[in-house]
Amino acid sequence: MEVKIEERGENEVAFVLSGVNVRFANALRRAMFAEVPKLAIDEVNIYRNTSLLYDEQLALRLALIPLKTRLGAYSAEDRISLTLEAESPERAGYAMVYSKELISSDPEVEPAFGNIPIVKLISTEKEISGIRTVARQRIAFEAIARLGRGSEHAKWQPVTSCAYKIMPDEGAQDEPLSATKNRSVRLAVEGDGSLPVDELITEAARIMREKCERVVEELTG
Amino acid sequence: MIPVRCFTCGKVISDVWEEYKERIKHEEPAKVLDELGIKRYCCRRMLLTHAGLIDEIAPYE
Repeated sequence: MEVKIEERGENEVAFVLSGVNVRFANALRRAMFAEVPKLAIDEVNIYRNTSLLYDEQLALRLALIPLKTRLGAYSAEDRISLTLEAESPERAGYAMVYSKELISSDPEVEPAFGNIPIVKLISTEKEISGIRTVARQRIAFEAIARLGRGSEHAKWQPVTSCAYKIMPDEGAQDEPLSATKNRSVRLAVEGDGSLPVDELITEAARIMREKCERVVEELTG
Repeated sequence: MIPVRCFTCGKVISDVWEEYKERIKHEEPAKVLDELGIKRYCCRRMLLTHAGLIDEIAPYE
């Protein structure tokens, strides 16, 4: 098997595996999707929410924020809390709340993108019988992140687009595609920002190896 | 509010929304999307077709 890197970006990599079974490339792809663990917000304790989003919508948006995860540093029991408190301005206007405003209990766990708008808090001014009042919106919550896998929920999936295509073999154009024959496969992997792509691919490969070793161990007794 | 991620592929697209919205006022959307690194058409439609309605529902809270 040969590996040739074709393209490399900040959060993506494309490489050609030559002389491999297509099934192997697919197994690696599926391991990347479903087996590589990462952190994501799983529970939210909402103390105050007078914003225009329902609690559920707020929690859903929070869960989708990719959190930077160090591989191997966290166990399934670990809980990382991210808190946020924000209020709309004192006068009529608005304040956009961004993912960078989340305060993490672990300095290494932070949103991979700081500019994700979470909610827009709007202050509206009203005049009731000559008295001006400003209605302000406020949110206060504690979000709890935990380690999970893509097989449980897509928010724990460390890749976004991750696909392969079978490269044409030279001089074998008329041959029907066969799943058992060794081919060249081009895998394009794009991470969601929580893990560096290289680490993600090697971790997926390691998980695959571990599973195979366990089978061998069981069989040899 | 702009969805956090692309519905189809899951790429985070909301972080570029404000820059996109500002730049399309005097630039070609296709060019802006290319420069922001939004390559696939599933992600491009997220920004191209988004209508921000939060300000319109605000008075009826």
